[in-house]
Amino acid sequence: MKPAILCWWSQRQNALIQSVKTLIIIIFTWIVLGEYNEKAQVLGTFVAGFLSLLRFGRDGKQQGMTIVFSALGMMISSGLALQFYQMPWLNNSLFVVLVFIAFYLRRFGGRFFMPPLFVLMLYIVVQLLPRPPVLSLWLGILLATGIVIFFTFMIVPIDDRKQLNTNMQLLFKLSSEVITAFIAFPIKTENPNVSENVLSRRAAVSAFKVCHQRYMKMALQLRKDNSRLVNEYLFLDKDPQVETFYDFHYRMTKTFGMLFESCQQLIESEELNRQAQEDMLRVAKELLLVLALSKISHMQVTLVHIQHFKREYAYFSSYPFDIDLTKPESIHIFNFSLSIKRLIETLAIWESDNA
Amino acid sequence: MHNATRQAIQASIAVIVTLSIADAFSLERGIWATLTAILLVSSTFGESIKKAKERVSMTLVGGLIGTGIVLYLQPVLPEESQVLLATLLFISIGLIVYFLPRSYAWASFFITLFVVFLFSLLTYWNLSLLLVRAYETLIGALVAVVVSGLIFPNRSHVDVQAHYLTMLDQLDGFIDNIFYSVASPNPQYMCQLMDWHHKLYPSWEVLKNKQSFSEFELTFSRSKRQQLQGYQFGFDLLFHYLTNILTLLEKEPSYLCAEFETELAQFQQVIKENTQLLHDLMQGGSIAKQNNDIHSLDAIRLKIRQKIAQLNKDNPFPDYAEVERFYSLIYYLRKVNQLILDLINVAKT
Repeated sequence: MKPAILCWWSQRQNALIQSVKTLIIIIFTWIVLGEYNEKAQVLGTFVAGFLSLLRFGRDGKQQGMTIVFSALGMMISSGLALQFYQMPWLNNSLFVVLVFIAFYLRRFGGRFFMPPLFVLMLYIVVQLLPRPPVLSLWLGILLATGIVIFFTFMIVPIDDRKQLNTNMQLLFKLSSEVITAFIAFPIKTENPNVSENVLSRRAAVSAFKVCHQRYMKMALQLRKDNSRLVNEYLFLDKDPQVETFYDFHYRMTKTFGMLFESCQQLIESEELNRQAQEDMLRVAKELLLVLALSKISHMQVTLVHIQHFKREYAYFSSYPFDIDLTKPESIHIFNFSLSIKRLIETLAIWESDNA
Repeated sequence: MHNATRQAIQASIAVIVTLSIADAFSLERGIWATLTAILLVSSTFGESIKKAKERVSMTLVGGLIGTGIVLYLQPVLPEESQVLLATLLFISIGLIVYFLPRSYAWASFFITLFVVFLFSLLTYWNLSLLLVRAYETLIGALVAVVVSGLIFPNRSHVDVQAHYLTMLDQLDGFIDNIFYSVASPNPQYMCQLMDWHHKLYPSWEVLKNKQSFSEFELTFSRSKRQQLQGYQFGFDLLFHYLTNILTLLEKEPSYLCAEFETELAQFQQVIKENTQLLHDLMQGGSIAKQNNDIHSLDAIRLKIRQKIAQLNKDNPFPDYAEVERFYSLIYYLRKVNQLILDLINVAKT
């Protein structure tokens, strides 16, 4: 699959699953409450819809607790709304107090950001819709909570950690694209100034630039997405595996960034030595194989072909070609080399005996 | 004041104002205005403006489309319209959930469709209700924006400007630390240098958060908005190159740094002077004075390359491991200086 499509799917699959689940929860609650108590049907269904969105917490236990406490908050707020809706002044004053509390609670972290707002919204919704007796509404809320917990944790539970994994796969795919464009750059011929050669070089440079720009745009997006995931669902909190993987993603993004910057400078250069270019392309081909063959799953990277890549780099870093140290190309060759070295060091955390 | 307390005060006041307006003008469904006001009170003034724009425009679009569907379906397909509207209601719910974490504009659009379909199923929906929905949303949005701008306002573009200056102060300290470490690489300096890992990234994250909505506060000033975009781009790249230098210096600096002490001191001086110029300009310093004081590192860099080539000619290096680290350091330092020069140009506009 193309990285752009994979990226689209990776970033949206959980949102799509969540949408479908919320719909199923709403329909199911509507049917169940219709059988049990028609008066509480509409409001109970609203509660189920709200609660299905409150999956906040580092693990299932925390997420479950968020849902249960939110349901408790909703029972209190709906009880108050039903009690006071006929006394406008008291009702409005109480509402202002509830608004203050809902926003004030945000200081206690991510789990307190959305749930109090939904509790508050229920207070409003109760006043907009047909009002059932308080006891039947509470029983409706209890039933809705049970349904939400069942569907959230028993049926296709969403694990946002999987997205961190997919984001890493995407980073590898994107990087492979840029390296492929680098490899496609034609080796300098005997007659570099023949118009045919000039044109093919220009075409290769612009193809590389397109890939490089796409990498920069999407790598930044992936990084942002990773940060959103770990912050929204509080994953970083005491989870060393997520922390390692998150940090690894960041380091790889930066290292590829350094590498591709030097690659672009090198292919734009008119003075690059032919042998240096051939040696660099060999290293790039080995790196491409490592990226294509390595497997990423369950926030683990299984490296394949890494020893060949390291051997090719060791040969390259002995600089078996002439370098004119006064020319700017020498800097870009050294930057290329250092980026590859750093890539090998960053990948080393996943190296095992069979790599 | 904690951001949550500030927002709690703003939201409470917004609710009091909206309820008072609803009461004074006997608004038909004042709760819509109140709900809008609550939802639009955000962490910064800029974010409130952005969300208010999206909410009002998408409520209008969603309301018109939804009303059109309802008014078309009910007379044309009186039998099937209930089932069709219920289906559309469910689709709207699904799309609200899908867009809620991603796009407030689209979420607002589908929320309005949901309200239209729900009302037409439970009670009724017509053009006058659409009008009520539209002006009440507008009232709620206006209240939220006014309150966010007047009561303990958190103007992110002012904060961002202040943070740019903080980052430049940090840069000044970082540059000193780099040059102390490369000139005399003792464990104390190296330790201090590595501490920047814990300072640079959080500082950049803070900046990114503050930058998110600052453009919306400058809606009516195109030049200031362009300047802000220029700063955003420049500071992002600056952060990228600074962290590259830090990564490069995780290992002991090349011994060549000692050979080029004078040139590195010149590098340090130039970067610091340019940083100071940028700092002054961003604080509103005079432009006339600055024109003569801008320095590039190109000449020194060329001198270094020639000297290295000469050293290699006189006494060939056993390998290029030290040269590659030294050249990369010079490359990134020059990039940092170039970015500061670019930012100076942005500051002058």
